[in-house]
Amino acid sequence: MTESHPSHRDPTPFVELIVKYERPLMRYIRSLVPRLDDAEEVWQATAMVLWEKFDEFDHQRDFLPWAQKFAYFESLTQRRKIARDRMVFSESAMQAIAETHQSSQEHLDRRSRALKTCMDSLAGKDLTLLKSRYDSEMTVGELARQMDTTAKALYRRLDRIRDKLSQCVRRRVALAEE
Amino acid sequence: MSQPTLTQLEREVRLAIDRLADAQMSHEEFADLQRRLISDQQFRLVYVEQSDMRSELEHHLRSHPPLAIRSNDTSSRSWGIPFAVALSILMLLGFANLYFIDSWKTAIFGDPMLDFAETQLAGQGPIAIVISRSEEADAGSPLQVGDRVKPGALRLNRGDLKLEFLSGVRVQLTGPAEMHLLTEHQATLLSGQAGVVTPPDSDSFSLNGPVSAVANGSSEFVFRVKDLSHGEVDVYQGEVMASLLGPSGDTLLNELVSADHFALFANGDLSVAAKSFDDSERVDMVPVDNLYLNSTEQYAEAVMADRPLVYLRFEDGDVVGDQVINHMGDHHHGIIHSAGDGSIDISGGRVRFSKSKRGRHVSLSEPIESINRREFSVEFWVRTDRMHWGTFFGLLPVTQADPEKESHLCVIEYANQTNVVHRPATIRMLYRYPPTTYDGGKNIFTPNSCTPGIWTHIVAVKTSDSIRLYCNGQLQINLDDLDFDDTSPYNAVLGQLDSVRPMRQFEGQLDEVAIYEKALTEEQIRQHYEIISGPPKT
Repeated sequence: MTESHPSHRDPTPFVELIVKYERPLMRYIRSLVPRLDDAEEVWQATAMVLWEKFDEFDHQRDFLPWAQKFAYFESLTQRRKIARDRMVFSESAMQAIAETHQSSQEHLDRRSRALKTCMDSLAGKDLTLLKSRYDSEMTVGELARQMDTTAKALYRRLDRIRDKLSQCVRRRVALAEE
Repeated sequence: MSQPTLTQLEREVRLAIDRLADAQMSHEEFADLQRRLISDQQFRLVYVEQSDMRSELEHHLRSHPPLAIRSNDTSSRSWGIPFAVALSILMLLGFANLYFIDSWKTAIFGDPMLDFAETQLAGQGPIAIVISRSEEADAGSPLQVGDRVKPGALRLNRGDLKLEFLSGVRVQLTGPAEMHLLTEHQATLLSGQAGVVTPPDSDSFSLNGPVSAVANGSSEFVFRVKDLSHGEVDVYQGEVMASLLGPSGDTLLNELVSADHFALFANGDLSVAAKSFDDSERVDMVPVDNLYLNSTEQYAEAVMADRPLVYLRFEDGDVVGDQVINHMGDHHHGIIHSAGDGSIDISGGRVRFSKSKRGRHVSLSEPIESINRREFSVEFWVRTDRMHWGTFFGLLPVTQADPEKESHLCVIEYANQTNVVHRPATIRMLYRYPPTTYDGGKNIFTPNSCTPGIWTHIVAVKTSDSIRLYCNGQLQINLDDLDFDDTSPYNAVLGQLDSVRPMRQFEGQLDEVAIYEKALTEEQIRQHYEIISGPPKT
């Protein structure tokens, strides 16, 4: 029997699953590795490992927990690579976060769906301000300088919007979980 | 001390995540954060919730797709159909933004010939068209031959890609190379080699790199960029102004580089010296056509079986004096109205039109009576030399109100930057009744492009309730009540707007021109097209 090399397999089933679970998996990684560029490294390394191991995946089982297991190990590997340069969570902190994330998956998925609806109800200027924060590599301080305000004032404005969103999400999820 | 409310806890956590992500957290704060994450279950859940929310906000609010392209080092492999399927899934689900940043896809599916990230500016139209690529593209892969290209970032991993800008400038990019396409007059070469051919009537074209190369008028040059401080420009023909730019973007130093010279930019110095080039080094800008109109006997039989009134084939022996014989009988021969400068050349089984300062066209020896009474069709093959506004075919009333400015019943032309709105490199059919005015009319534009250098099959059909335009078998239709009892005679003109003015001169080749006094059916048109092109690929 010949072993099928990953590049010779039909990637469609894999891509369908990875597309479906890309967002939850990325959110899981971000909770372990808060910086976006580090998380993207972990995501890419994870996707490659998942593809390599895809033959071993039992299609009767859920894809996300299986994928999270590899994402966790890749996060640990990334942690070792970057620990000298920046603050990274200890292994025990990562383990605690990972367990909480996995055990709250359904709740987090509901929050994620609610967030989209809550964003739609935001005022245009609030959405614009949020966009200026998240569509940029700049820190709050750098953004504040560009907007001719103080970091503190900008942070307060941003957080008021995030408060609104959080409360909206909480209300919606509470209704859904009742 | 009272317990913080949930809202307060969320704020606290968000602040911590922001400070951590922005690398502004002190070691003491970080130690405290970790301690709470490990020991405080509620704090940990709020952390996970707020971290998730941040991740989702970034996902929804970031602009997509990013313009920057990350380079990959994986070995060369061709894309397969599974990738096209997979990519389609990604696109449909709105994950196109990942396409350019995810090296894992490259590892899985192989290294594509090229990547292209188009700018997402509202109202921005195409600036160029793909005229050739050295590797055939799979369905769904970016930048196939004939694709219209908007400004964006292009990375060519291997092979050659030829683009024609709306300004008429042709660029051949040789991979590996990276280029940012800015406007129809400007591009930036970040790495690799670009050959550029600018036509005589083009406005200036700037290719930016470590130095900026600006060409005015006819020129041919090759620009190579090794890195930010090394580049060279070889000029084969015409003149190119090489300018060293300062941080403000203004020119610090410039040198005119004429033909058979090269400019070398290295470590801040710009030098120009003579150089002799071998012809083999020159950029081959003629696209390789995969259609050949040589074995057309079967095609001719199919056309003649459908009984056109006129069938001009331009075969060897078809030209007698200034006449081109009509293969359907001893009437309606083609008449060559030459400018005496070789701008009409009938050889090799086709007619070639070049630009002339004087009028030149091919008409018919006699008008066609009552062609607009009911239905008619005009069919031909065309190979344009470049993107321009040029008329292939016109039907004009014999009686004209102003003999110096003829009006039309029908015009079929190559539409680029005309006086109406449309995409570039498209074919336009204009039908206007009564044909005595110059005011508008009914238009159709083909959705697919007519690529310079590539033979394209065009059929225009007028029925009592529509005008229809087929480009390589693809139909575009405009419905209206067009049932007129019009028994007037009409002249046919090939190669320019009318028989008087040297306007909208077509530059390229026409072949197998047939005029029918009936509407060709979709099946007949498909059959004609597939005799030359072969059946569609499945």
